[in-house]
Amino acid sequence: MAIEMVDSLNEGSYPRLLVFCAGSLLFGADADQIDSLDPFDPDDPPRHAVPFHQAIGLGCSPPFRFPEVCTISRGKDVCRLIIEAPEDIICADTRLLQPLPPLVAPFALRRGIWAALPGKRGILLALDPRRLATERNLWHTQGDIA
Amino acid sequence: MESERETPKSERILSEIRLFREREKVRDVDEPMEKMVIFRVAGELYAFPGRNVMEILPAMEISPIPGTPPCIPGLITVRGEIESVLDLRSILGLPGLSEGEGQILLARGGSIRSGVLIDSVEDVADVPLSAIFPPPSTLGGGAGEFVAGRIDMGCGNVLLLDTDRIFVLAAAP
Repeated sequence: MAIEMVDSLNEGSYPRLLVFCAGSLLFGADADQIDSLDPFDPDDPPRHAVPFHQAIGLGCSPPFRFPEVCTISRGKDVCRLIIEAPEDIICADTRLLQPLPPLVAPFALRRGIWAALPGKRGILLALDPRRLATERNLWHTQGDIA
Repeated sequence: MESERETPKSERILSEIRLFREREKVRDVDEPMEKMVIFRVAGELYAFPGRNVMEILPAMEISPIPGTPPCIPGLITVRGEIESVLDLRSILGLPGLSEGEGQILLARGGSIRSGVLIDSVEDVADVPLSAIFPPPSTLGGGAGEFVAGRIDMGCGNVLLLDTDRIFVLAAAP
């Protein structure tokens, strides 16, 4: 992952982003919102787990290489997203994180995308997973999932 | 009969013609002009006022954003700054896909700044205001509401687009 995104001197005050790919796009999900990351077992798929492509509206999900289940929660509600195995966790430099342009922001926020970070590999989209789950109605109560 | 010292009538007329033409030249120079960026989309010529165009960018990779409508293909990075991109072909309801790689005009309308995907820039020209006319009354379809006027370029017409209206309508979710 691009080193210029990391500021190790002041990590505590910078958002930690879990970086993963979805197709050609690079996402950085707020790591503090993620309860757990577990390997995805296709023989015993967790209930209500949704491929990230589908959750965010990228269309059909391409085959995962190393799928993992990302679990987030809000009180008794849980959302499970199947993502490609994360590449890294970075501390995003807030001086480099950019608000989305006004033409894009209202649409992107409905998918939980709240900022962008230009880097060597392209534009990383900062993701608020709880907002994504709320906007896309992906929450399930704990009892449903267990 | 004209005396030998008197200026021939033909010479007087020629002088008047020269004077008239000189005045015309002066008037041409003084005529208010507006810079226009003239470009092509789907084979047709369009223009943005030059004051609304900040930069002409070469083709570059556009990073798509989930959830945006087809008229907003995504984001680009311009010297480290994130900019949105509008697809003018989609906004104007023109058929077909963008030809070749296309170019991007970094433009502003109202308080909004964005890239605008076009096919190619044809010219950047000073156009006399007298050559700008109201939009053709026959203009309909999706493009009609975005046309601010018609520019008579001598060799043909160019539709002048209203950048403010394009950006405001594109921003409406």
